[in-house]
Amino acid sequence: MFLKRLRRLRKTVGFKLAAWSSAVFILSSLILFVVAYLLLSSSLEEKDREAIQLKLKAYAEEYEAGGLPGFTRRIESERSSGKLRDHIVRLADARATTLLLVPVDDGTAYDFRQLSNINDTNRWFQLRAIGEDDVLDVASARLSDGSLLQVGGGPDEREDVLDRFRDKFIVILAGVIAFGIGGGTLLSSRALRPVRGLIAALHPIIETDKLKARVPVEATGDEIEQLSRLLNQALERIDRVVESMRESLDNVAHDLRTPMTRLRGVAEMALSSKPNLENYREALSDSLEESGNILAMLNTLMEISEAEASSTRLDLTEMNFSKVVEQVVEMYRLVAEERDISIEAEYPETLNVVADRSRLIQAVANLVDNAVKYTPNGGRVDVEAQSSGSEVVLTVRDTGAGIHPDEAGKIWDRSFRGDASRAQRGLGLGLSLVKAVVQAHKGSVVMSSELGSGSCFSLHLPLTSA
Amino acid sequence: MRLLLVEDDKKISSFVRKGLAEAGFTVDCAFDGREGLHLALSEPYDVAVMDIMLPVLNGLAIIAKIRDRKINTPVLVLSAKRSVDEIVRGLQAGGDDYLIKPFTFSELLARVQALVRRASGAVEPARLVFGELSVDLLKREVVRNGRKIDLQPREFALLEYLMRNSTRVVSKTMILEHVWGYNFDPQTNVVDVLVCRLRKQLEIGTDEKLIHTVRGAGYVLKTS
Repeated sequence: MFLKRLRRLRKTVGFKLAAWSSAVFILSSLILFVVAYLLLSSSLEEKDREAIQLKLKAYAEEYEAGGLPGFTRRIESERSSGKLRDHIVRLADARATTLLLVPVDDGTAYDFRQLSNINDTNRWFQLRAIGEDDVLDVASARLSDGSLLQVGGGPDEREDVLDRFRDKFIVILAGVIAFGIGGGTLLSSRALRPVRGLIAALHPIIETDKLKARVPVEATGDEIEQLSRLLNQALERIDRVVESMRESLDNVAHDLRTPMTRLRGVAEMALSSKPNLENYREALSDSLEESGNILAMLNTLMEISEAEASSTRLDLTEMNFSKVVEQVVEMYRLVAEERDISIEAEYPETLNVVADRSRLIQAVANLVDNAVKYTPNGGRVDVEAQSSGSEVVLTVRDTGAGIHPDEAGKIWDRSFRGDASRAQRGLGLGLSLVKAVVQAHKGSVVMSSELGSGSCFSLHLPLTSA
Repeated sequence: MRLLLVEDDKKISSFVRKGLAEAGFTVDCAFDGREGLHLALSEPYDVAVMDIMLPVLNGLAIIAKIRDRKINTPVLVLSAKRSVDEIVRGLQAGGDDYLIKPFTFSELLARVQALVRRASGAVEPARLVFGELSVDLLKREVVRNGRKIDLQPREFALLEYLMRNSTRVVSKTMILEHVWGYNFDPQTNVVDVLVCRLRKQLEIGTDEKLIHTVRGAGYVLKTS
């Protein structure tokens, strides 16, 4: 349980952020210390060597001025006053016979014979203690009578300083680590607070399916604000799609109820009547016809839903809109002639648009279909297509009964059929399909009507709907 | 003619099988994808009818597999989906024709027979004859009982389609698709009107009906 939580914690952005920032902080403090330590130790060494050089120079001058006795006196006096505690002094004559040797006070043993082999007086010699870690820096000088003066000093003093430095640093490091981790945690928790706010706001929305709710947006101008806005947009989209799906499902269920009732009725009547082959045949034919109606309705509903939901999935091609109008008018001319209705069509030779061909044909066909259907025998239908600015306008005018102003707003709704048209065959879905298709192409539909003298439907289609 | 029917719905399978058997096909039925694939790979069929949504293995996968084995049996794909994408996918997978559920049996039969005809490489006739009616496809001339009949292009197209499918019921959707090239339902009875006009033209000076209405199903060209 605890391990599981720990593992989950390890995966959170907050933890990673805190870990990384404290690691970076601690690492840089460490690097800083190492650099400071190296600088300090080398400058201390420099200082020690300078002191040894000074001593060497002073002793050499003493020797040159006062000879061996003066020199010996000076050494003795310095030794007794404790100034030579950490140092060695060696004087050898030109034949390398040691004349004077002052060892270090603490009794550490050195192999002084090594010193007599030094010829190059410009270089420092490192004299190691026998059996110990101590090292002495030894400087040499050749005196005017050929004898060799050597002064060496130990690193004890600077080791003390560096030791104290290290000890202090360990204490400081503990503080730095604590500060780094604390600061990192604080930083990451502050940086992620808006994200946690978003998560907290989204949780109830997802869990309760309340798609109407939105996450709060703070106008901070940062990425979190952008993210919140995008989330809200996504929620709105989802909400819209779900809503429209629910609505179309309701509509489908409602629209199918009537023909289903008829279908069941026919079958029930046939089953409960006296067995008669002719009746049965009749009932079966009725059933077939009724199921055909249901299917046609279902298809139209699907097409409306598809057009409404998938404006992004249009199969767009460049095509001549005039050809579409020509074909559709030609198709309905037959029906019109049958009922003595004249169809006049006017369109330019070419009228190029980018659109989904089969859907557009369907929309135009439905408009013309509608006009022919509601025009009384002997009437007239005018179809006109033209380009106007950045759009193509199709106008279909009929001499039908017209539409009552009260109903004008509802004609594009699903399942609506005006009073006057109840007697006509039709499913009342044609115009909603027109609207859905045209809107999917980012166009618009307009209707104007005068009761008693006819209606005029126009369809505005942008030249490119992409 | 041997036909493979792969369809998981028992009722659909049964009525399609019955109908196809009556039309002279020897039908083998498979009810899931694996069985269908096994039969398709092991038996020589003249034509296959394949549902897409199948248990175990879907229809498109079966078609792809048999095409991989260089089996060129023509396949009619059945699907409940109407979307263009789906149809395109069906044909790309190697299907030869496509039929959307719910379908009328007469349409299925017509399509299956068309597939067989195409696969057998039958020579396109220059003239169609049905009883006393004869249609010259090259000159586009229609003669009944020695009397020449003038038809408008759509009427001619309808007659040609009915002649090619004589004695079989063709649905309004099929007519719409073949005569106008549309595959949607116009809400007005455009097809009825065209059939009505053609009927009048054919029946001038004779009482014998050739085009019969089958209510709820479509039309059929036959002698009464």
